[in-house]
Amino acid sequence: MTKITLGCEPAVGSLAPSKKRDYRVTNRLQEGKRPIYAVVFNFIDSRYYNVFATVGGNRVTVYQCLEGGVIAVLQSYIDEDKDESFYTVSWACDADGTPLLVAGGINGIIRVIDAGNEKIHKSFVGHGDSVNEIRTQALRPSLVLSASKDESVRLWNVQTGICILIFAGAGGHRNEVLSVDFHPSDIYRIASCGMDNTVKIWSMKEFWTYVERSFTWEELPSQFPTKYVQFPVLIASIHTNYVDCIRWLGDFILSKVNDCLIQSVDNEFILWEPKMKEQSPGEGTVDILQKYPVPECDIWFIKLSCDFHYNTAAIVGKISDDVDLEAYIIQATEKGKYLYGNCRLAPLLSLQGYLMSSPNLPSGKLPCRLTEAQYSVAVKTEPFGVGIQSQPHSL
Amino acid sequence: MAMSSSKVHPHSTDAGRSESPDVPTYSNGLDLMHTNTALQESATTPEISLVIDSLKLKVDADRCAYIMKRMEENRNKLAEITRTHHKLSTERRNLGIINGDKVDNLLTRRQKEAIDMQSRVDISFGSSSNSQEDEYASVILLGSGIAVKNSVRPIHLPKVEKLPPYTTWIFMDRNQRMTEDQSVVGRRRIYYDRNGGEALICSDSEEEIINDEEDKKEFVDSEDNIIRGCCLVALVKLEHPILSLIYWPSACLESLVKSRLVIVQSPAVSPFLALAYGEMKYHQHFIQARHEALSSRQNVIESFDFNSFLDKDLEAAQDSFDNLFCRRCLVSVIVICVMFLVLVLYFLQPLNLLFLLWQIFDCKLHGCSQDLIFPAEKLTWDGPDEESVPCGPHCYLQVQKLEATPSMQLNTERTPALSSDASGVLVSRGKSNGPSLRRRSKPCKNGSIASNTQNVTESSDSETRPVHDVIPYHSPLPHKNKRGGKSGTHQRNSKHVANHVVTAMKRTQRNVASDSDSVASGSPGSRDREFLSNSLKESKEASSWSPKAKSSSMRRSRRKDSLVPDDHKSLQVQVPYPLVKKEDVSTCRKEVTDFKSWRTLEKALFEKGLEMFGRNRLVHHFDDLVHEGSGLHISSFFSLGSLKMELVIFYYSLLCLIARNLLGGLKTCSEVFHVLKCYENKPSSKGSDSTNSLGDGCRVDSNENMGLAQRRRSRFLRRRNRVRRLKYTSKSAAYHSMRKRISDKKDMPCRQYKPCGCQSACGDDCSCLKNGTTCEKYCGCPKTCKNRFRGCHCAKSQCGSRQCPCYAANRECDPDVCRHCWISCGDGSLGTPGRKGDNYECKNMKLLLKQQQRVLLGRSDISGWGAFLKNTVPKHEYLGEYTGELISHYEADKRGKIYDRENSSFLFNLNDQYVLDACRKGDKLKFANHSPVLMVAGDHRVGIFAKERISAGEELFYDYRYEPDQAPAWAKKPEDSGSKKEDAAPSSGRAKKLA
Repeated sequence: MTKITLGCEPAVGSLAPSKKRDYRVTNRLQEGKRPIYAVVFNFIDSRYYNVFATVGGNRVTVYQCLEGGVIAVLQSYIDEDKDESFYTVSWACDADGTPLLVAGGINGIIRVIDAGNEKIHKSFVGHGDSVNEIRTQALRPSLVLSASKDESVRLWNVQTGICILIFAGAGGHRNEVLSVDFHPSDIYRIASCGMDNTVKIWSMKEFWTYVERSFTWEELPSQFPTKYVQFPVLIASIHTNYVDCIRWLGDFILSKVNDCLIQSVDNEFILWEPKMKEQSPGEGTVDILQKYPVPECDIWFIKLSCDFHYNTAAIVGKISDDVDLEAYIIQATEKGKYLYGNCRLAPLLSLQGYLMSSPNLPSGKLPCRLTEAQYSVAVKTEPFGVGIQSQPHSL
Repeated sequence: MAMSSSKVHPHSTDAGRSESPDVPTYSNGLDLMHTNTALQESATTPEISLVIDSLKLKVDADRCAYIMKRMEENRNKLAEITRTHHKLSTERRNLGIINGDKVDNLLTRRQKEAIDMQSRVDISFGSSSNSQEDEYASVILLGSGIAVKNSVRPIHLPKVEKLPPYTTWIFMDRNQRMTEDQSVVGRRRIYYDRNGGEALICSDSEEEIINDEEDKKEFVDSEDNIIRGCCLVALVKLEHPILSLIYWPSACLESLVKSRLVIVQSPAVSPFLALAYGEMKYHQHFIQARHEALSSRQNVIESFDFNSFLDKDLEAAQDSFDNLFCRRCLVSVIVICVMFLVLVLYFLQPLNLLFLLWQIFDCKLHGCSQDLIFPAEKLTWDGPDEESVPCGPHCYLQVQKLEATPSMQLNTERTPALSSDASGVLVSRGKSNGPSLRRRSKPCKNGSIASNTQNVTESSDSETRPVHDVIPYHSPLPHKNKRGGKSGTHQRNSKHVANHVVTAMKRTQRNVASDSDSVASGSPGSRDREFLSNSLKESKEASSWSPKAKSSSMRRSRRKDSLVPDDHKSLQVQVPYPLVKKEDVSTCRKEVTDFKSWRTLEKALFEKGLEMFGRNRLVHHFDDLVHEGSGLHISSFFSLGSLKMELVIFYYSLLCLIARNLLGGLKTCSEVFHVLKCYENKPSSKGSDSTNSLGDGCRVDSNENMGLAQRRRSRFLRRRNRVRRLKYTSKSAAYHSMRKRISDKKDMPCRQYKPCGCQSACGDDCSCLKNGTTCEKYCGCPKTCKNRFRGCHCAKSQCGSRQCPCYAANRECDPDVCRHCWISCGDGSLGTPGRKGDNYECKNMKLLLKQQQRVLLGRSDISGWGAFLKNTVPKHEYLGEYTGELISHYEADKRGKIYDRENSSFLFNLNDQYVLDACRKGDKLKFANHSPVLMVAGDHRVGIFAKERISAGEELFYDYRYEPDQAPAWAKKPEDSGSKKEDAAPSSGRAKKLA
């Protein structure tokens, strides 16, 4: 853990659930008997702001939020491999605006589904183990990143089916990569974190020509000169345990560490600012701005997500066994703020009116690392969490 | 807080503070002082803590304000970002709509259907979608609690065969050392077993190295403020109990705070303190504290100032140059050579840039821990001469013609004598000493001065070195220094030199034209240091004769001295030559300022250029140079002190090279020329207490490198220490490692070779002998060394059996060492060397030549990944090399624990120092089990050979990685695994991608 010198301490906020009910459940739905691992709204295309997709088991389902809390099932996809268990899903689109769904899971095969034509678009085989997270570059929605158990992060072009870059090697992660995220505005920058307790920030600036080439590649995708990015620009060892989730908030990074194994109070969100030195990559400092200890969070591999405007992030807290496999739709009472969430992902959207959460899956049936939670917590990442009980300790 | 305490102070127990027992033991006097001031302290303690508290509050408040500000900034930025995103998504919507008109987008259609249906449902008051249950609906509305299953017709995604699991790995065609941050030592890793339980494997607690971070604590401003505030309020508060009141979130040592306190207040406050408390005891204390402070600051200075001397960029660049000589970098050498050739052709100048391919054992990049060692014998390259054609309108030659016209006559007068003499030196040297000497002794050349360079070593060098009298004008240069002479003779000699300087000075002062280019500096080779240190004193005297010059170079020398205070011994002598005339001084000053205006990188590049090109322009060109009137501006000898290189001649026509190749586009040739001119004048005239700036540069460079290495290391240590002390499960503590330890069948592992630096035949103190390895071609010792491995003298095709000494010693033949083992270049189209002829190729150099079989990866017939051979290979055929990360045994133990839990181990014992780990880096033969360790070009490498005939397409072995029952297979049947090389390596990323 980085030593924090006097005058650089983070402000500590609190994540105790607010008494005020900002959201209420408007609907609940159930998908089979297998846990829902991810839910994600389509932020890529404003036509589909009210469309979201879930994955659970070998299914990918597309829903639409309608007036009055009604939810419509639009599409449903089933992988013929019954052993497949999708962990993550993300929206993408190709050059002519066709909405694509990119899902990955335990098999390590990334499925690109053409939702516009209801058929499989491509399948990316390449990861040597399960895929833990997939994220889409909002500025170039044909680019997706996948984090995998095989200790690598890969950058794919879903349009052409090319694996452009592999972030692994000499400076790469030394254990499963759990989470990855694109910088929202700096197209070259990504961050990844994983079970080796580190957060690594990578730059693909030098390799950007390959990214561009991938769009015009005519030959077989397997012929593409995939490059290894071996050295990150920053390695931050600010956590002492698994880093489950990482999200860029502007230039800041919100990362979550979970220390359920060793019974300590290490479960916390940290909002920090990476300070890279341009001259010497690999050497940089970290300024930890805020800390949010997570109460009673004894599960890990939880993902958090932010709303479209990055004003609110959500995760799911405590686990419980006695609730069915359900997804809750909660309508926000606060006007214009809607929160969607589930066991692993709680994306938020400010335009539509729902909060969806699918917590509370029996943990016995799951791999131990994937469990569900009873309630969702909203974290506002304003200074010291305005609106939530969080105050800096020192004032 | 870690406090080194020993003595309980009386007053502190009274106060009852928890931190008060932590009073360090001081001398008696100081102890007394403590008791004296105890009263005052206890009186002011609450005050102090108040102050401290308020200061801390202020720091906190500042921090809060800062965070607020940053968050607000970030929020504004985010708002902008989301606006962009929204705009983009709207654009996509429009794009989609345009396309959607033509092609019906199913998602959009379903969306519409859902909305339609909802309105219909609302109208008909029906509840959700029950009415359509018999058929799969295209869209289903869900009110509450309705199962999604069976609602919509599912679209099936065809099954895709998944890959056998693997960990991403990087292909490497040769072994690499582990980068430091890849170490698992001191880190924690959690392993999952199949049942979902977790086990923690981590480093043992004793691995946690003692925290040395305190020594390096950097005080931030806020901390300084607190300290300052404290001592302003209560000046006595240098005492520990008070200091410990200051709460440090980062637990730093009291003593550090104290020393920092002194630093913080020393400039302004300390006199005041001394006045107010005029006690001697206080002074004592203060002085002691200051000593601590100074020493700590000294460290800081030492470690940081060198860094600022050169740009970091240059260091990186230098790496690449140094790599040229590394045996591991030979591949890149070729590439770079080609690049240079292209460059040369581009500029249409015959650039005689050939690199002397001294084979240095390891370069910086490859973790060279020992000094660079230059073999006692090596080849130098005699290149063709190059002409001095102006390279452009800004070429120095143009400039110089103007300047040199008056001096031309003089030069031409001088040249015949010079050339004859110089060539005489060359010839005689060649005759008497043979090539082995050439490398040591290079004639010094100067416009008007001869300097003697004596290579005198304490070592038992058998060669007597000639004295190089280069300049006929100064005939009295006959001191033939005998090797091993006492310092007295050297002193005398250097007095002679100094005398010469004087006479030469007088003479040259007459020679108006020649002043500008006359500079002499003799620089000895690395072996001459003792001599140097002696003669330095002398040359100091000499320098006192030239006060003017000294002062003119003061500025520079001062800086150098401050940077490199203690390297006099290792630096070269310079014969001071203060002949700079007034106008020259002025121009020189101008140039100096010019040079100062150069950017650091440019300067460094320039120096590097001198070093590089100068190094390659050896004595061989000397005669020709002499004949060229305008080219006769040879001046300085640069001793590449750090690199232990020899004397090197530099001459001006290289300026073009420097300007083009190193400072391409940044500076013109003439600029370089100007700078060089005063560059030479300066160091030569600045007297012997300053140093040749180039050599100095090198020196500093090497120091810096060392410093960097140290710092890098310490940083790593620090980082490791930062890792919290871990708790360990009992499981991890006593886990037995099933590590794949394959050495030779003997228990004795091979020893890691490290070249020795002996310059003569290796004696008892030879590091190779001590280490138990043979001397190799990288050693400094001559070929006649008894400890050398002499290679084989096998005739054709005999190297494949144990009759070949190389083969018998588990070594590959080395064309540099073995007599008949060689291979022709390329496909023979370039012509083969005739004398050895016969198309014979040594069969014992396969690893060296990378003559490996094509190995294919595929899905194993049994499980996981399998490796297959593309072609049929006969028995004993070399298949490939097992490459991986070179890690230490300690590291391997740690990794082995992890790998054993995963039932896969790629560890491979190489020798007594290193273990190969192919887990993340390696080649397709990652899983080979039982192979001989061969000595190839000084390295131990692992080759894999077929023990029986293997037909094409046959699987070499298969992965038992995921079948724990078979995991210890290597232990059971090593001969089998040896015969069919098994391989279960994961495939490379690209091969697996599906379209």
